[in-house]
Amino acid sequence: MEQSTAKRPPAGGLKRRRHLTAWLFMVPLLLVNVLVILGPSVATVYFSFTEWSGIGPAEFVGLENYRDLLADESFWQAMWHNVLWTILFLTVPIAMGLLGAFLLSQIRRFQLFFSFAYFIPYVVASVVNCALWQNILDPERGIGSSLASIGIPVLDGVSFFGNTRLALPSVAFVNNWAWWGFILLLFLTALQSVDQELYDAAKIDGAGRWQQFLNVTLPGIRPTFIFVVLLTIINSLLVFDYVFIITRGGPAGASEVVGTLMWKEAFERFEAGYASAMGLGLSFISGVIVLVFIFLRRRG
Amino acid sequence: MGLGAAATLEKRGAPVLYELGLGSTLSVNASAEDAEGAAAFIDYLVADKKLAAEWMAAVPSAFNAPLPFTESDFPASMDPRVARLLADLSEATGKGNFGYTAWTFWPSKSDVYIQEESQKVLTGDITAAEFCKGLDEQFTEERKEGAVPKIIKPGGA
Repeated sequence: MEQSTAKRPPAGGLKRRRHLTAWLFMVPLLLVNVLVILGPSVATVYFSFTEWSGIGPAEFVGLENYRDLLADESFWQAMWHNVLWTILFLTVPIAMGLLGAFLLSQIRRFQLFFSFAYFIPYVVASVVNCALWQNILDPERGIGSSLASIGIPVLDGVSFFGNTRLALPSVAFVNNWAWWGFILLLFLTALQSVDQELYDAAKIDGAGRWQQFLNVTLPGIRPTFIFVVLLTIINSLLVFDYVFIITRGGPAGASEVVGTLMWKEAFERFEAGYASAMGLGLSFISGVIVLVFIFLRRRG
Repeated sequence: MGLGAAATLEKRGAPVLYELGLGSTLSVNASAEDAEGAAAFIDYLVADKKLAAEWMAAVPSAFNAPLPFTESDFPASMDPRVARLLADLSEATGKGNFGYTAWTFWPSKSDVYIQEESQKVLTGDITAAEFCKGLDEQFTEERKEGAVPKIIKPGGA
């Protein structure tokens, strides 16, 4: 008995060793994150207090960049576009995803085929999606002129990306086309995990399709729904690629978002210090929005 | 050293302003750590005219050595229309008749201002006079900062 006790490592030691092993597995990823996330983040905070072209020495200017940011109409206009974008993406693709997932959950044959078909645009590179829609919506050789040639001139000459009123919603439409299939797949997976017996019980209680959706489906997919809303908010505030590729924020700033404005400040105007302050400003506003959302969710 | 289209503002009868602008300049930065090395590299790029012509044929429009070329200087593999264009361009720029591309001859913030704000003139958000006033302010600020690239004088100036 004594011999056996002597050979077995103490319980505390075993626990420490397990912790150490876990940490050792995490160290490589932690190092990468320090290198590519923490390091640049700290540097961004520092440079936001400087006047820096992006090359060479940076001159400390205190809060000047932040004061400029508060008075910068371009920044607030771009921020407003981000808010509009967020509202659009919190409604259209989520509604489409929910509806699509609900309809797909009702069928068995071809469910995988349709899921796959709707998901394809999400895995296609954004530059390819953009090039496709730039051609489809081109005022000279796109769908508008094709329809006009068969006697339906309703879209003839409409410059979706060149019109100041249409540019932002048109780019959002293209992004949505690629995005909603992903949302659909998330909702479909969540729907499949909702207990069928709950639907049966609701039917016995006389609930119709709409009541089943409100009282069984929605509560059943609540965690996924909240995840999708958070993901949408964060993605909408960080949006860059589709706007940059299609309109570069134009025409006349009509589709400018903070991401593209920040890029121009840093890499075209060579105001990397100011761009850093802009990035932190966006992070701050995003953080506040996400915190408000989490607070409201906790309050039910 | 790419080429870009630029609008000509010349009146009839004035020297031809070539409707192409040189998209970059070959120069050595005043604060370069190895100015001699940079100068030697530029020499290497332009010293051998035959080699430069071959590069221009191999990478059309991307590399254009600022040398006095005639059509016969270019290899036979080059499209004769391109050869004629480059020879004409060489002759025009040799006389100082070239366009001042905004991305080469304007400082960076003024260049961005021209790109962004000219759209607002077209959409009617600002007037041409407001555009010019804003550009003047931006350019004056950058000139004070010493950010304006060296302007090459045009032909006859």
